Amino acid sequence: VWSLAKRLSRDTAALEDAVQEIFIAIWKNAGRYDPAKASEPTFIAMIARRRIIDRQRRVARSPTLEALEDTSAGAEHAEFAEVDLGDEARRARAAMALLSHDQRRLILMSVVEGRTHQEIATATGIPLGTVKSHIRRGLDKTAQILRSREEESP
Amino acid sequence: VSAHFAVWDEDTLDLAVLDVTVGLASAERERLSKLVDARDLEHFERTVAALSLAGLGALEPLPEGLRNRIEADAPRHMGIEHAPAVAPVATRAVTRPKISLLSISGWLVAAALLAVSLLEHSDDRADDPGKRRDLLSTNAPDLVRAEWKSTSDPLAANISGDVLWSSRRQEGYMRFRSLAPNDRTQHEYQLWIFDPTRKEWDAKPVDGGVFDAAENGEIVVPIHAKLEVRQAKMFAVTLEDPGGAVVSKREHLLATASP
Repeated sequence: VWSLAKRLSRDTAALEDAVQEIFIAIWKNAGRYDPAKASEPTFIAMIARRRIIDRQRRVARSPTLEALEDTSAGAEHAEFAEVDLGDEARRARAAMALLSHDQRRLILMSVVEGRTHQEIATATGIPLGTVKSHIRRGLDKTAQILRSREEESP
Repeated sequence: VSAHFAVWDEDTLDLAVLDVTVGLASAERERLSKLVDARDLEHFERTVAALSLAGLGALEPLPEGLRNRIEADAPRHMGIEHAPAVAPVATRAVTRPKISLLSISGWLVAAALLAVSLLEHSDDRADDPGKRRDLLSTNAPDLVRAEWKSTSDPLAANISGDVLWSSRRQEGYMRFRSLAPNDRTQHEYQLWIFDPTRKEWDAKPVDGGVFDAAENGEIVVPIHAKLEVRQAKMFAVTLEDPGGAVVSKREHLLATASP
């Protein structure tokens, strides 16, 4: 939870408050967990993401151009590390390998780093429409691949 | 490849992407929920959650201070009643805290540790603390015992009694006489355990739990150490704001006990 929130959250000053809020949400939603639908880490990640997204929508974000430039270089070369976080994460990593380089890169910036499409366009120089299109198609394809693998599973 | 999402047109897919990446206003979310099957949307959100896990890289542990705060927060949100931790030895009727087993099922990787700890504590509270203290005092091979000594703090008022602790069992009890009843909406008592095997042990003692005194007779309080205590060199009771402190300012140090 901490690692995910730290990567996704822009408001680092309020990061600890956000993580506390996430734990409370996890406890409150524990009864909804269905192991047939998702692994434990994925279920927790869904709750954590939703909380952070809701929280960030409440806080006006004002990223500076410098901040984006500082971090964009890392994102360009970031790769999906081999950390064992459940079946879905392993399948998602494998599915990502089937996407184009640009789709992977932009999805990483959007999903893992929590950047808006506009911020990604500014950081990479890729037109906004192309950013949206890559992310949309990449996520759609990944979701379809994961769905088909779930259906193939006994 | 399944064509499950082929039915989503580009606008719908755009909305779904925004929903799971930066969020939607409530009106837009309402519109999206009418456009797509809830199970499909959940699968889409699950996909993005799995991707975010896959991209995490090295995991970092929770900062210790935050972990302590989350642990302190857990009982209120996991269905455990905040029953007073204090019981008169002879007369107190102890209520078993309500705890949902669903709320402590094994899926919650980080919180599972907390849940196990809370379950153990709930068992503690299921019996009379005085009886459990007696059992510990006769059965624990590594029992540590110390007498409380009041400090000069004006609120200390002749506190006496003792404390028992077993590091092997990670179990202990405080017994007090003349501990003034507190208004839990204003202040609560908190135990601190000084363990010299820990880093900065004198500046950062282990939180032994927050408790209340309901009456001025003899009371027995179970110790709920938030971290493992390997060697109890000293115990101290402070008065803190409701809910206790992560690190005490020691403004009201009321009593200490050294084995």
